[in-house]
Amino acid sequence: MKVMKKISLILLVFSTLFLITCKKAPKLQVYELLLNDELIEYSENSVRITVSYSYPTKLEYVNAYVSQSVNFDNSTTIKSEVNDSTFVVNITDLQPDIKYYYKYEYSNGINVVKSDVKNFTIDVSSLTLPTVTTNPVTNITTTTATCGGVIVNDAGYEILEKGICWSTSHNPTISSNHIAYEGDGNSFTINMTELEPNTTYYVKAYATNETGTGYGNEKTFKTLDAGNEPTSIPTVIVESVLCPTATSATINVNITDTGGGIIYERGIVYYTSESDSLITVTKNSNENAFSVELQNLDANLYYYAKGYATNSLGTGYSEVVMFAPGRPILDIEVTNITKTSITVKTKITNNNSTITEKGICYGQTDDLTYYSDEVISYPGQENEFSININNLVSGDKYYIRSYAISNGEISYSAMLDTVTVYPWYYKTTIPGLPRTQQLAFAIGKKAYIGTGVYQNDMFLDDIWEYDTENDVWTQKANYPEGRVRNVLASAVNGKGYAGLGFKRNGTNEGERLFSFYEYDPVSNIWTRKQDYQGEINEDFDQSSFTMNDKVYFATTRRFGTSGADGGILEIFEYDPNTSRWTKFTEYQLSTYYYYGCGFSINVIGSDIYCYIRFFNGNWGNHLQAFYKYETEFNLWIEKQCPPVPITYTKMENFVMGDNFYLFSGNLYAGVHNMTTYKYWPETNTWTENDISEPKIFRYNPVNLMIDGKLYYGGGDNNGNQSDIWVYDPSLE
Amino acid sequence: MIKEFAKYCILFVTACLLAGCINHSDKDISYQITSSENGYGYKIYIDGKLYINQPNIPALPGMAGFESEEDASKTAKLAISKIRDGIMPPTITVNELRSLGIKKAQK
Repeated sequence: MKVMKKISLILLVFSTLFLITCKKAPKLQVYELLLNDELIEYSENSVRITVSYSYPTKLEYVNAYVSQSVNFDNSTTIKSEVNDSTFVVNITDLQPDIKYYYKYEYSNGINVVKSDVKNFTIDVSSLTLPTVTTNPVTNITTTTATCGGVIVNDAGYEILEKGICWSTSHNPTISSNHIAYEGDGNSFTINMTELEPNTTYYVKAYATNETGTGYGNEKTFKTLDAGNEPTSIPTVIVESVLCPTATSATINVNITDTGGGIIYERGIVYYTSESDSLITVTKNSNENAFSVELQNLDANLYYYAKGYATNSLGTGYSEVVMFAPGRPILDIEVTNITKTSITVKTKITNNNSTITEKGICYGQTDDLTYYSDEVISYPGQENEFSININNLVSGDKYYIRSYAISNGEISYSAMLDTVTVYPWYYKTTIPGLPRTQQLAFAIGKKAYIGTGVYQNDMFLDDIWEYDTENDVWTQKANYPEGRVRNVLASAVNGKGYAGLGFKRNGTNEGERLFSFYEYDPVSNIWTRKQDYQGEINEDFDQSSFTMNDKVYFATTRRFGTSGADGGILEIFEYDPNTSRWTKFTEYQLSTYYYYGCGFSINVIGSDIYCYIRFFNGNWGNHLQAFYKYETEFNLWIEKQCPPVPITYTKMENFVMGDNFYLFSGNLYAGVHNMTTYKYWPETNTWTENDISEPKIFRYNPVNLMIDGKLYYGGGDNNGNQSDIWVYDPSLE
Repeated sequence: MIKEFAKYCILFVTACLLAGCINHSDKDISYQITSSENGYGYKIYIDGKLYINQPNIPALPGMAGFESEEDASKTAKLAISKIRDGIMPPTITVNELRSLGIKKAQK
């Protein structure tokens, strides 16, 4: 049994090692190596070949095979000297005037690839010629380009002339187009001019001594098409970075705008968290979208890369992207936001290490960490998982991050913030001055807000249209009476109606207005209609509403000089069809305290509900009354009052469904009552806080019902305001 | 001038306060000239989001737009300058239209 156990153990270890080895075997990458220039320097019985190559890392080794046979019979193997971007092969014991075949075998340490077969012949007669290399062609335009060369070996003779020559066919010589360089030194650069647009040229550097002219390797370029010159440097983005292993990365780059010219170089540059020296990797491609693969990266480092592309005007770079091939990448998404919960989806990619724990952390400050905030870990093995966060506070802001722990280190996703659903939320800001005592009415899904008081000595006349669907404002025709406050307004049949109010006349009180206007949103024109026909003697005790396509203004006024003298509640009706005001109904108030400072009126079905708060001469000691008027029976009925504290003055109101609501009570000392009161007509009772508490308090605000939502804002709260909030009952 | 070829101009300005109530610090404010059958108008964007769409002359009755791109541009710049200077909101008054020499487009 012991022997069997040992054998099983050994098999397990070997199979595990095998599996690990198989899993970690990287893809073959070395075939993507690019051989650039090849410089062959000849002597009588040897050659030295210097090859420059493009590859993300230094090659592990390069061997050259040399033979007189194309089939490489009796070939010689020569180990080359490998550097970061070049390798050098020294081939000795050669004979002149014999063709030798050669090829390379190169490896990145993982895989081995062989090159194409090439050949050379030692021409003894040319051994005294200078050895020259040709530089890459740059600054290509429609008619010009730049090239140059380097004299590598003068063969022991004085250089008499050096330069470049070019032609539209292969193997240019100094008998074709050429320009000699007049300066000193072994390196030279020359501008070619008067080239033909959209034409392929071949160019070589050359150097001449007394034995003849030596030529460099041939370079090819094509001039730009006429009218196709670049107008800007290229625009480049890095679309994605993938890390298939802990030591490799693929950077996907896209040249989104070539700048109008030809891209003659593209690639990436990168640096690491340990070294800021830039490493350039050039990509040999003609595609705007290209990928660069990096191998043998350090799993412990962060890498920073940007793509680049060069045209004749210069080089454009992308933004820098960071990646860490040895660490997991976490993408986070927040969904299913409710009043008290959210769902957090996490996707882990680049998972090249063992993750020992993962999950989310959340809190209400943006310094969120695994150690300092609430953590919910996910027990499963999946790389995509969802976690619900429950028991959150409605309307509060939360910060959330996903995390994963591997090798004892924590990786985080980006930090998101979200606000749980709350039925009252900020919607927009009136573009005009902040104001109170403004007019407001709604036509369809558009609100019209304007006039009012900015400061005591500044009334306003501007009118703004707010498109609730598109969240956009438009300034409309000014109110025709000029700068006014406390104008009553309502809308029926696609038109707005506004009247009464006070006009600025040099005093804060202003001049009482009885004028009444119709606003047509199609023509953006105000038209004066019959003046209001009722009596007015107070300021704040007026309100308007609509019913059956008619406009109603309701007012209260005191008869005598004291509350005991009594008062009257009157409602006047305006019929747009006849353009006439008529008295609709009235109700005698046996006791009318000083004045009615809060007047809320609204319609449920064909019944009018009217809530009044009276100022009795002592601030902080208000009285209230609540009436129902049944239009069918012309009957006024006193109803149960809500439990609003006596300290509060005016209340706002709205109707939703069959219920009448009061809210936004104001204590004159600046303390506000955020309680909402809901009236139940069938039982003649009130309940408190059946809906969420408003987020803001306003005195004399905008208060409009549009598409089943309450638009509430502007008005006064420690200064006049212009923000508009929405109460959406569907979010309760 | 053909309306269909109206140029779109974008002017980015720096942060400002809007009448002490809306803090537009660190926000980009831009405008765009628009055209319709009623004449020229403008749009004002804050941080790339459309905030004011003004296809017709503000403050005046009727749907007439501006007679020229220049008039629309002058008025849009005035509205934006008010935001930039933090003095006033972008409300345009009739006197300002008069002082700018703004003309209604003739249909």
